[in-house]
Amino acid sequence: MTLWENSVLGRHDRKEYAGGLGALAIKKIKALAARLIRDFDVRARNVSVDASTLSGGNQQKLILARELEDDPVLLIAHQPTRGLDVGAIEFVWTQLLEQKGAGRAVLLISAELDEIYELSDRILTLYEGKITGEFHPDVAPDVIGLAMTGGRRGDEAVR
Amino acid sequence: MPLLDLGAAVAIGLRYFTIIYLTGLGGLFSERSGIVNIGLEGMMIIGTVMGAWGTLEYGPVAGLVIGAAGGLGLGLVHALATVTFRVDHIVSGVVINVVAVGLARFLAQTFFGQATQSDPSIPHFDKFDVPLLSQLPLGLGRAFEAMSPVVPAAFLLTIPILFVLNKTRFGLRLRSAGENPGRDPSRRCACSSASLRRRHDLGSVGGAGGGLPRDRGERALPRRPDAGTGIHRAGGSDPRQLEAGVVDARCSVVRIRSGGSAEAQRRAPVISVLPEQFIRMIPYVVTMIAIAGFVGRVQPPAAAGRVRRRGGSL
Amino acid sequence: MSARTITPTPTRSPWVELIGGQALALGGAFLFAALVGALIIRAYGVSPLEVYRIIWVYSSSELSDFARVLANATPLIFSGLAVAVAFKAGLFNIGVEGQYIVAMLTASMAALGLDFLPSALLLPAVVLNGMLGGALWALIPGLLKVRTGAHEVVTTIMMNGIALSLVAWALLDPLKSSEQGLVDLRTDIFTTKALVPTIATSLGLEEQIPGSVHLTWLFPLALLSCALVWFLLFRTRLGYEIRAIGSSSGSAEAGGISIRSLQLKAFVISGALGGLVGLNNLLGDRGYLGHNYEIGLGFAGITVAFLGRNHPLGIALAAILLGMLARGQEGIAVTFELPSETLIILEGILILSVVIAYEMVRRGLARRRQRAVRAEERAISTEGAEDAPA
Repeated sequence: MTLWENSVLGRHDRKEYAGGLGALAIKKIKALAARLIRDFDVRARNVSVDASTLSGGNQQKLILARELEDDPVLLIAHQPTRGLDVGAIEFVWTQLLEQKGAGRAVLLISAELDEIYELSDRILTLYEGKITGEFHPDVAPDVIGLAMTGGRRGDEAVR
Repeated sequence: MPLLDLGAAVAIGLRYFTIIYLTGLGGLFSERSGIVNIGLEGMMIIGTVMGAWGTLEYGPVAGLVIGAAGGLGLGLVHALATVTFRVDHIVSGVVINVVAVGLARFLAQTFFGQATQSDPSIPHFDKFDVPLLSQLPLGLGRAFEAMSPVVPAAFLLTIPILFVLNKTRFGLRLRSAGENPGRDPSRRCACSSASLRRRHDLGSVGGAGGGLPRDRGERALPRRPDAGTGIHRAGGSDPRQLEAGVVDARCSVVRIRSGGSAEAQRRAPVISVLPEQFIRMIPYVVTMIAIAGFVGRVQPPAAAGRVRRRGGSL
Repeated sequence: MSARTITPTPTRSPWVELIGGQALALGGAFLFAALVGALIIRAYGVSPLEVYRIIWVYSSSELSDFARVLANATPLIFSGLAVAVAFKAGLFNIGVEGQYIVAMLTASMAALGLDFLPSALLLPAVVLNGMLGGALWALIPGLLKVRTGAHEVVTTIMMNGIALSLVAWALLDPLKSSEQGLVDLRTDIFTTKALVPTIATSLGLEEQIPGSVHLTWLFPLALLSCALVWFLLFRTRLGYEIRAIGSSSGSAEAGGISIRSLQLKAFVISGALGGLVGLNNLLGDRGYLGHNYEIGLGFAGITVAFLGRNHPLGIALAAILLGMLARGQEGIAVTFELPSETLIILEGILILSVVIAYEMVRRGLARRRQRAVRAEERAISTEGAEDAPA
């Protein structure tokens, strides 16, 4: 799928992007894509390139741009920086913090402890499908490690 | 005469079973390694012609091996296409079937001359009566009289195959390649093994296979040109999560039914309350029901049929 | 394509690379297949060049030859489109074979049962009934896939087997002709109102194109179908969703697309197109359904779809190419002491090498493009995006 096709995924069924005969309003979608890649600094030759040819960082930027376009109340970011280079990670982090600053709820799911410490206000650990602890980000990593692996020190949680 | 000659029905069932089972084992290996093999049909066809020629020239045992080699050859083409060149499995399989039909006629003309309309008669294995089983009452014993040694050989093949699949390093790699090729890309390996079935009801020859580890082989099991059976087999082997033994049971049930139907049609038109064509649908319907999970949920290997590629679109 | 909204950078356009790459792949594959074919032909003591010349002569020297080629291509276009639509949704419709066989049956039922209708109504009714039959036959594996997860490759193959038996039964019993002394099993002969006229009769070209050439108005319909399928896939919302689930079902689902309902729709569309495959044989040639109807067109569709890169235009061209080879086979049979099966083998080698060549070019291009895009990412900073209209 091209970049413009990707940029409309999830809102392709809206009236504003519908042409006649069940067709898509391609011009409008391309304009949307052009705006998104400009606002989020997605580096691509044009909106008709295959999205799969972008680097991981630019793909992630595109996704962020697409998902933030609608002003969501809640943003769920699942492993948003996995496989990205340092520059792209920086960008994603900044974006997520900006979203938080703009008053959106951000749920970050990550296997990177550093990332979690860097971005979170509250940290929840899960073990076997249950929340085993809730912590403040100044908690020591070994406490979190223990809670993640099912250990019982939940009383240290900051309520 | 009884309404349905049980012994004859079972005998026919067993004969079909051998063909289908061997092909099914071929399917088992390729599916387990994550390669969908629609080309089984073509591999059977080539194995038949090659096997018939080998038998004529060098005797039944050599025929078996040569037939297996024929299937193996096409299996290698499939492997080369799907593994090395990442051609879609289905496309490659379909093409192999197309090529096999042409190639089989071509080879038959080359081997046996212009008279391809009639099958050349071919020497076959000495038949034997299975001890004990041939004494069974109710006419059932007749099913085990004058049996080709290939039939029990196919049965016995289950044991080494289960062993290879579950107890050897090769088997483990094969299975892991099927579940997650990304983990082990170099070993989207596979087994090569082939087998064959020869022309016509007269002489039956089953097959055996030779492994070809490390090489990116595939597996093939050919048979006489009987449209649909190979493909059917590929279908039947889809319960590939099940162990070989279960596959064995399932396809023998399917086959005995349709074998029985062919026999019923020949011997006792009395029982055709149902038109014969509907009886012929039964194995397909049974397979569909089985696949649809009413009999038991079956899960193909996670990566079956997927061409491995890096990346992908967003 | 509509106008690009962003000015491309002065480097070579990706389109040029794409088309150039594809041409390279096609040329290489043809050459390879021709060489392998030459070896086989040589082994029979026949000159390969002469054989290839005969294929060309037989398929293009006269208007009627080319008409034969297009007649051969007609069912293959429908069949290739049917496979492609399903494939775009990430589904394999191996069951086009069964779908068109059943469609021939349902179309025959309409042709026989509705023969009181005037031609202007009867013919569309017959064709639609065929499409309906194909769609229905595809609906079953579609439902099984969506409801139980049964793999469509297996179920469609089973449906093919069932279709064969179903038609065999229909010819033996309910639809069997009442005429006495028939050697072949077949239905009654359809009224001529139900038949698709050939282009030659409609345009008064009978002198150039003899009646034995069954190039009917179904061929233009096939081309029209190509255009419609293109529009469906690349311009409509439905097509967008179909391609989205085919390209990444996870992202599509996250984007709010219902995978199941889309897969079902794709399967039904595919089946309806598949229903058209057998109609040229049925309504343009025979005029009845007999036990010796043409088989294998559904499987041929798979090769057509992949030769044509699952793109409607490519499918039309691939179908015409296979039509030429089929015509060439006739020429070879009468000209040389060469088994005509040679061409089937040649066809198989050609398809495999084309598919492989495409794959190699695709990989090479992807690598190049990736490198180019990465380089650009570094080069274009924010000013690159200013090309975009506000």
